[in-house]
Amino acid sequence: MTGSAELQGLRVLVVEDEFLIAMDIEAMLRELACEVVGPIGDLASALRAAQAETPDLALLDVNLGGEPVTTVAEALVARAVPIVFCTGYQVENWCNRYPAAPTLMKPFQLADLRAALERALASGAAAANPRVPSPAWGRARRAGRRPKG
Amino acid sequence: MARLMARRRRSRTGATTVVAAPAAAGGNHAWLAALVDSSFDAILSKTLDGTITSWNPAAERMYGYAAAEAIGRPIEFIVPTDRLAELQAMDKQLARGEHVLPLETVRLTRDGRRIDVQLTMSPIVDEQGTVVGASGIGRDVTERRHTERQRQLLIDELNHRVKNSLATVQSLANQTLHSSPSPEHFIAAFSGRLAALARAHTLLANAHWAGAALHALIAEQLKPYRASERADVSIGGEDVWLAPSTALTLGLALHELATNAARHGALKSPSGRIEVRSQLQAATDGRRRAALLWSEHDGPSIETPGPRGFGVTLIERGLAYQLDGTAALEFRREGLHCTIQFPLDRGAAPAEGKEWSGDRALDGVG
Repeated sequence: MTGSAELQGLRVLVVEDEFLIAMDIEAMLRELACEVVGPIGDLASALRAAQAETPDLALLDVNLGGEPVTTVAEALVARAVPIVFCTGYQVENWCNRYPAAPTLMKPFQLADLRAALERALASGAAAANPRVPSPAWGRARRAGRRPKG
Repeated sequence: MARLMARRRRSRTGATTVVAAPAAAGGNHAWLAALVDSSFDAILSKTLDGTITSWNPAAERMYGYAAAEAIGRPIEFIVPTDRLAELQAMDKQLARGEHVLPLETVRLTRDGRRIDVQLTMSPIVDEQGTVVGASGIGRDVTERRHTERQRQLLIDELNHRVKNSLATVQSLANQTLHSSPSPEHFIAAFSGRLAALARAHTLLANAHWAGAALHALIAEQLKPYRASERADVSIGGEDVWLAPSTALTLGLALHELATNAARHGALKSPSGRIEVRSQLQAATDGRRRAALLWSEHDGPSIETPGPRGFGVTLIERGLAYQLDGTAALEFRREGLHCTIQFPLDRGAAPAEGKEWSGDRALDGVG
């Protein structure tokens, strides 16, 4: 049992600069019946996607080719998109800066990813800025637009 | 001397140190003065209100002020403003007759540098046991602190790399499993990819992770096949310096080409040969590009030509993703051709500010 009713059909933006790790994340998200936006490996494209796409969740590597992913995270926070960070660094400050965003330590497994996404979704819904559409709203809209398998 | 010893003993158990000169022991006084003069630690004394009363040669060297300049001045001229509160707290402690145990703080030198100083302070008492001042021993630990910070940075960076490598290996295992028809196939393909990754790592480690030279990378990935098969492989063209992440991905792609050549292509037959050529290309958009042409000749006639499954994904998608480049596989009658193109200015600059470019000197690499 790998699926999650809560996550099924959600659009997840994946930002990760290592190709192999991005592929692994992509495969895991497919197993969770999520739709993958990306994966994206560079900061500029990631920022464009964060502003133009309407993901329900985002999975961000904290370090993109030596650059922190902060601007992308800010853009997503402004649009109330829940975030999960993933990193190989032992950094607690990311957790402090975005208290609602869980941090996944690499390497992680499907169960870790699922738990982190569910946690981000739950705290994102609780802390959603009332002026922007909540993830639940986005989900309902898409559910109406496209039938789920 | 006995008196001095007695006072020293008292200082261990009690709260004071005596530096007041024993009047009758002129020889001891000279001995102590020589000890202070020859110390590598800065040793100074001050009155309770902070006026400097002695300043040894090591203090002159450490802070840059001659004894004549320092003596008579208030101690604050070597204390940064953000450490004044700490100084006041220390003075209160000393006035009560207490020691200040080794403390890491910051002091200012004459030329304005902030140095890390390990400081020990003790109260000076007179014959009646009244605190009249304080003595301080300071050691410049700037270099040590710097080394410690560097070491911590290296450990953090190493940890990051190891975690990323483990995540990469996990992905290699998963992806290889998905395209493996049998456990035997899985273990052979997975071990091969792991070994390719290890060879790329070795090259990078030799260059302190600043990057790797393309030709060395090609030679390294072909090494297992060249040794066992007496294969005819030539590597030529302009060499190019690769950033670490580029080298790792390209290393894996070259491994896929080599292992395919060994199983189906030019390395399978004695007459087969492989030519690998690299060249720098004129920039069209301000970015310099490198091209790599892999061509196999005179191998067996190809029925199931190129790499399949994950191998193709690694070459085509992996190079596009990681290098912002392109990779085209072409199955010609004489053998597989693969053309890889990628820009040379993508990604972060390698560590230690080294520029990675085609015309960089490649000494000490490989």
